[in-house]
Amino acid sequence: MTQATNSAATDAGDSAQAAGRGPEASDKREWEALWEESRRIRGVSLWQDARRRLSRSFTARWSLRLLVAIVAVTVVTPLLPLQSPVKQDLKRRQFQPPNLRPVRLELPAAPSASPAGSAADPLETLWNRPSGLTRGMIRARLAVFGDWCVPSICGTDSLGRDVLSRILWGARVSLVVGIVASCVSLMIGVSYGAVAGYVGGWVDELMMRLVDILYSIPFIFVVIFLMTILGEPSLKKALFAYGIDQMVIFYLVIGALYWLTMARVVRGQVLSLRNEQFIEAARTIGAGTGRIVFRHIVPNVLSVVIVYLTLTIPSVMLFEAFLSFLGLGVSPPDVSLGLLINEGLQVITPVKTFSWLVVFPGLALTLTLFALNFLGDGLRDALDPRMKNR
Amino acid sequence: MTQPVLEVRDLRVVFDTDDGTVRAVDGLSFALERGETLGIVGESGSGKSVTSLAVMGLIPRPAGRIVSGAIQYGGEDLLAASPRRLREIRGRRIAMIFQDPMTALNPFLSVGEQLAEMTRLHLKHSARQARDHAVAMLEQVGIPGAARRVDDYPHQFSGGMRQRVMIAMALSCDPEILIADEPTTALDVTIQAQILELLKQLRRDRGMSIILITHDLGVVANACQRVLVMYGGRIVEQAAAGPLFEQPRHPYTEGLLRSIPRWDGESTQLLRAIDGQPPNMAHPPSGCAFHPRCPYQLPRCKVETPGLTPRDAAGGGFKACFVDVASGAVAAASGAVASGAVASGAAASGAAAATAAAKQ
Amino acid sequence: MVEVTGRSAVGGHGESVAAGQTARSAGNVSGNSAGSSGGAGRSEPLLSVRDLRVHFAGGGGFWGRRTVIRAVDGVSFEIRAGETLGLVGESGCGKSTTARAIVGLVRPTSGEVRLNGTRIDGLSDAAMRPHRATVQMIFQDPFASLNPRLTVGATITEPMAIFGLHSPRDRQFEALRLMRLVGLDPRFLNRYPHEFSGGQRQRVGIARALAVQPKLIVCDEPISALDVSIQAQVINLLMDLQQKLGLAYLFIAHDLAVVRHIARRVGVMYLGRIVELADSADLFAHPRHPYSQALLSAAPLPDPARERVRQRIVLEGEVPSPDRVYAGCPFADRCRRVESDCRDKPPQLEGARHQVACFHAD
Repeated sequence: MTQATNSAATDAGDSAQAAGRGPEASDKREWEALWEESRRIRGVSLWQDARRRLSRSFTARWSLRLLVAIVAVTVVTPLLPLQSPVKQDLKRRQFQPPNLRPVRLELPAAPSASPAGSAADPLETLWNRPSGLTRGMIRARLAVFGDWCVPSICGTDSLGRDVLSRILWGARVSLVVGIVASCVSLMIGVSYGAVAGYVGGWVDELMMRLVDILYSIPFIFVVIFLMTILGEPSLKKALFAYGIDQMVIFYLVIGALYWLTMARVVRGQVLSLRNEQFIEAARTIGAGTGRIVFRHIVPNVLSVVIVYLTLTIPSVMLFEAFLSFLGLGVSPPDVSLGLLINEGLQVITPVKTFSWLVVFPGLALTLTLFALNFLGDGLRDALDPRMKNR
Repeated sequence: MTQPVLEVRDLRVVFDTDDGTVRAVDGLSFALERGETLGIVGESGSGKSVTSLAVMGLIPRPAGRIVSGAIQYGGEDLLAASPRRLREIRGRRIAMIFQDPMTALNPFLSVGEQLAEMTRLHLKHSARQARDHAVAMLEQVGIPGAARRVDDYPHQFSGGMRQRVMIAMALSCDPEILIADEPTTALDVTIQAQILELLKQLRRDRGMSIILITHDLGVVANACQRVLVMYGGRIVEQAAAGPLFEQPRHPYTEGLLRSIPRWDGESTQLLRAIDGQPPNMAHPPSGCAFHPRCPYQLPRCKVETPGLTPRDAAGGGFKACFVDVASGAVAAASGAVASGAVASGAAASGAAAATAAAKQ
Repeated sequence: MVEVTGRSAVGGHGESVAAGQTARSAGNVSGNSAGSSGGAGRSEPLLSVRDLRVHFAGGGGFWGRRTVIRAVDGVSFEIRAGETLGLVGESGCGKSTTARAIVGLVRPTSGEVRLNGTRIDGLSDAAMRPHRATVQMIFQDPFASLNPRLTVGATITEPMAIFGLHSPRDRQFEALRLMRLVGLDPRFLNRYPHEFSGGQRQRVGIARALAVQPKLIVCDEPISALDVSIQAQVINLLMDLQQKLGLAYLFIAHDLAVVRHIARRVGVMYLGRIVELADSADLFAHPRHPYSQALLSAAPLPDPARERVRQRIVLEGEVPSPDRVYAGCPFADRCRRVESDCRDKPPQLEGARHQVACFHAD
């Protein structure tokens, strides 16, 4: 207390006349020095604290590393010396089991010499009309590795396409679908749930009954309905003019379905946070609804949201696989892990099973889902303040 | 004097936390006499509640561990007792009441059933006997209409009445020792007065020994004969209530007494507060845990932990300080007993001191 | 009826106290431009509460007959600039609800709350905002009242940002100044609440309340969650700040000794009403309402010698549920001095400086 009294005493002069003005200019240098000093002392935020605890969990740590590796590989897939994911070879390369026989890319003659574009461009024939950055990456790969590529170590499929290459390209699509769709659901769900929970009263009642209604509609019919309507050629063309292709629609549809649970989770959290004293404190300092929701409530809900997100991504990926099976999701020549597994399953006959067609894409999907689920579990423990000191 | 009913010797309890190992109780020794109310005073984190949990064998595992010590009750060491034996003693011989009666009562059982459970288990009562006993207990703790209310559920009682039910449960097997951990903290002053009056009456009528754990010095002054003041997991002062309040000999006790406002008499302009913050027991200060906040601090306080030494020549009680607070001079006696006392040495002398106190 | 009697009495006699307080802090107060202008003349109290009632819908019975919880049921008082009014009472007496109604966290059912003569009861959050620069609040729980995701600096600068005080850079300096003012090390501007102890967090809460230079701070049990040795630090800080900044406090607590120490005037609440309102020294020396007497006799003193000889007035039963409507005095059922007229009509606060709501007060 002496400390408080003494230091306060030195401030007695300027504290009284500080109304509406900043500190005295003469003192300003001292404050600036103090401020500089304070900037060097960084607190440990709850996020950093959680990260520390996360890194202490064995499964969570290795799941995170595995996920980072998977994401890294899929991001740089176009740069890797892989075979073409789309080129078919029904005569020579159908149903090859995993092997190490050398393979060439079989680039069209003098690709660089031919006039720009046209059908002879390898990017059009050997890859599935890549765009933008991917295009650049493939060109870089061609420049570095030429037509050399990794042998079919995971075998080939019914149309003679390399399975490894298709897994990696498919994983790209699956992950992007999972992440983007989850993020869409996150944005809708968090804002919806936060508003319903914070505003409360009849607004909350109305908003949550709407969620209940949407919940009771069977998912799959909605998707079939939406995808069919939006798949209408004329509508598709119109949308395409705005730069919206089927994948974007797909993200939106899945996102629009998965936000329901997120909204409920967030609303529940917000309801319990709303009566916290620091929310009341924010109200007494005159904070508006927007500020309270986005500065005080959402950051505190975020930990739950992140956990839920890591658990939503795998379920979205599975849903995508399911939709692709019905021909409503990713459609060839695009690939996704779900599509690959289905292709593998379709060629299983009583006479012969081509195990590698199912095992490798299945392994890729399983590993990713496992890692995500374990990470979500670890995050839940790390982010839950009640788990502290345990 | 007779043999103490409970004797704690050199008790050490640690908790493993994210911040490292916390020494919650660090070499604690005390004796509880028959028929006395012993107050244990301290702030949050001083180890006072952990002590009571240790006596009851309720230290949460695996985070908490009893590193060493002995808790002597009726010729046996509770720390060495089998879980089965401990269960027999707990509730039957040593009972506990908690701060929050709502969490300590099962909301799905009527209070009669919960009371009966105790006596059927420990006293082998029949259902009929147990129920009569439950009604009698509720009457004894002053619940009006006990015969009617015995079938009510905990939520049907108010806070003060719930605490009475808790006390009735604790008393139902007629224990020798009652440990009350902040029994009135959650209650209003008028209800607090009622509960304290009830505890005093129990001590008088049944000769029960009570350990009353609290942070409220007013409660201690009201209900206790002897007081232990704890700070940083150790006893810093121990004395009969009268002398302790009249002439505190430890700087912390003195600081506490000076810092609390009184509603009788004149109010002074500023309270004489204790500087600084309570210690973080994961990283306790070196030497005496109180030295960073102590106005009498000596250089040796930073390196040496003072052991328990007699408070004054008259021999009433003990304190753990190198300084004689009353005269402001360095105590001569402390040097003789506890010079160079390291943790274990200090604890050993503390244990000896406490035993000596018990024998007097 | 309540309001007229209560107010006139306070208006007539609270003045000299307030005058003394203002004189002490006059230098500081006159330097402050905000708030003291306009209709706030010399005789105008800073805060005046008249017949405030806050009723909540209680949980209904099984067949849906809803009860009404009368948390605050006709409370009137005034606070002058630089003055401290303490409100004491047991849990459920409505003291916290009174505080929350004044700062607009709950909507009063009826009655008036005037700040510098302007009515602020029942305002929307947006309409209330300009008044929040005048009245601020300190909360009970230092662990729950700070957003765990914001640094201390962000917490303290937030009110300034909302009110557009200072430039963004100056807000940082102002936060440093406030931290020093409340006895925190300013270098810990970028630390998070969980890195501070309870007492330090409470200081952060005080700094946040001071950030908009309020005239009145409503303190809702500001020290009851703190350790004993820390309580005195915070009480001293609050009193120190009052002297320096000319603040007025509405100080809510259940600890009688703390209220006795900090408040010039004290109101004792029972079942949503003030049953006794008097100067602190007078009230604690000579309580006149039977309930105040019982409350004081139950409060322990840290003095075994005194404790041994004290006579206690034991109150039968507990505070009844606030959903009942009383025709007469709500304390009648537990009162030692109850007479037949007590149950006929409710007693009003009466008296000059020492006001009591009892027909048979000492």
